[in-house]
Amino acid sequence: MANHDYKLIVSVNQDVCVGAGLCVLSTDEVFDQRDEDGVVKLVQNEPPEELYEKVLGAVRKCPSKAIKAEQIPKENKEA
Amino acid sequence: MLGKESTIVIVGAGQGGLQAASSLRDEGYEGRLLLIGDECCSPYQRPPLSKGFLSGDFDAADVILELPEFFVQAEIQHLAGERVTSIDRPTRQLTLASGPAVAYDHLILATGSRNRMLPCQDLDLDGVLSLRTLDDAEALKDRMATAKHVVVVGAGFLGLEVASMAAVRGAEVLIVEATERTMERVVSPEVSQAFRRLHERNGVRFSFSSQVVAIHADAGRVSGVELQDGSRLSADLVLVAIGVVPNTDLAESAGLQVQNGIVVNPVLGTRDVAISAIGDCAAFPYAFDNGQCIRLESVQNAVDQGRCIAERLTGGHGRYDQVPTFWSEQASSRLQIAGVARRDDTAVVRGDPESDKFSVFRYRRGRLVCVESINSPADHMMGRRLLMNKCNPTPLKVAGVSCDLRQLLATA
Repeated sequence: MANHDYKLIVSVNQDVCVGAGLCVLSTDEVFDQRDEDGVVKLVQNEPPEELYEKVLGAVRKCPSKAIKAEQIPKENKEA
Repeated sequence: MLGKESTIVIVGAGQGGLQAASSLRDEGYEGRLLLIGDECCSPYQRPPLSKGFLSGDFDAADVILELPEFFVQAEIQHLAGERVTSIDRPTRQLTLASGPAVAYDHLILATGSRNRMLPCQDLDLDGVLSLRTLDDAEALKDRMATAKHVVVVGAGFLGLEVASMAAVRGAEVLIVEATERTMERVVSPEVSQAFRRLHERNGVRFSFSSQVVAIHADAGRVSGVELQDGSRLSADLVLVAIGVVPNTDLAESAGLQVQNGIVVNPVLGTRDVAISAIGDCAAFPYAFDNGQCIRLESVQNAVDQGRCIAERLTGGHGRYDQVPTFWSEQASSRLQIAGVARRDDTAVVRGDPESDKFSVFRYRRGRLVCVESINSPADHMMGRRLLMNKCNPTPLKVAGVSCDLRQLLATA
């Protein structure tokens, strides 16, 4: 597993989501869909590192570009 | 089942082909996997190209589906900028344009579709564009930055989406449509009318029941279009958006059955057991219409068929039975469709059709076949579920806004 030098903070824009559900296919540990209208909801917004690839994949694949994953530089622990 | 020693080749690296490749790995396929696409870049998604890409909200990097590292990690050989010129079915081999032959144990055709052209369209004319690829989108975006008089030929999803973007940028926009209403092939007259109203409110003009018979140029640059009634309209940008034709040449020359798409059975296989077809290029039996053969152009269809074929090739049942969904963003409004309607299907309106937020339930011989929703995602989601569960609420019930659709699903 790749060691990332950043922390990922995930956010979603429910106004532009079209409920395609591709994010849930990428990882249902981070994304879910609201029961009433299929709009994306977050299971967690600071996912563990082992899910980073899947989260970034979900960001790329979202057809309405409703997901953002901000990469926050980690504090250097060795410093 | 295909084991470690086998090779699966996917022709077409669009969203369907890529999904098939990545799902095959997700499902545990361990053999060789080749994804061949004629475009040079990484696989990307097309829907944003006529939406946020044109407005500048996203750039090329945002529409890439998988980065090169993914192909290395997943051990998928991505042959970019490569074309397949022929299939030799008896020996199960493909010939590539660059020369070599490639053997396959199973072949997935995900060749997509290409844009239809106007009979009078001159490819070399500066300012006459179509939109399908990322390159097309870059070119269109460039031209839209300075265009003042835009003529869009075709009032389908693509034409209307681009027209909205051009109008927002301040251009004068005219849409020339051969039929008498917007999105005539796919939505009810009520939804057509609502979108016409939304676009007109944004300053877009329409010329319905109209055809472009000539494109005029001045020194190699487009200057206008001529309609069948002889009228001339000036234009510095013409977008031709009159639908697509499936890419079936490869299948046809290999002797596979082709009829408005590569004909497949309920598990997406052609009559050659070693060849399947998915996405825009495939004509498949529609599970919700007694197996009537249809061909769909949507991300949902491409992705779900990609997953479906991967399941079958790794031992699953592989019957394709998803509810089709479509969406479009136009004039700051969202259209979502679940199911597939035909022109003469009955329309039952839920909500106020004069407003910007209502749904239309389509019925064929008393059976619910499609739900079209404008700015009503909850109705859309309910439509998907009603169709998936083969529920058939009465028109009287769906027309009553006070009737909770969830109740209909629960009691069905």
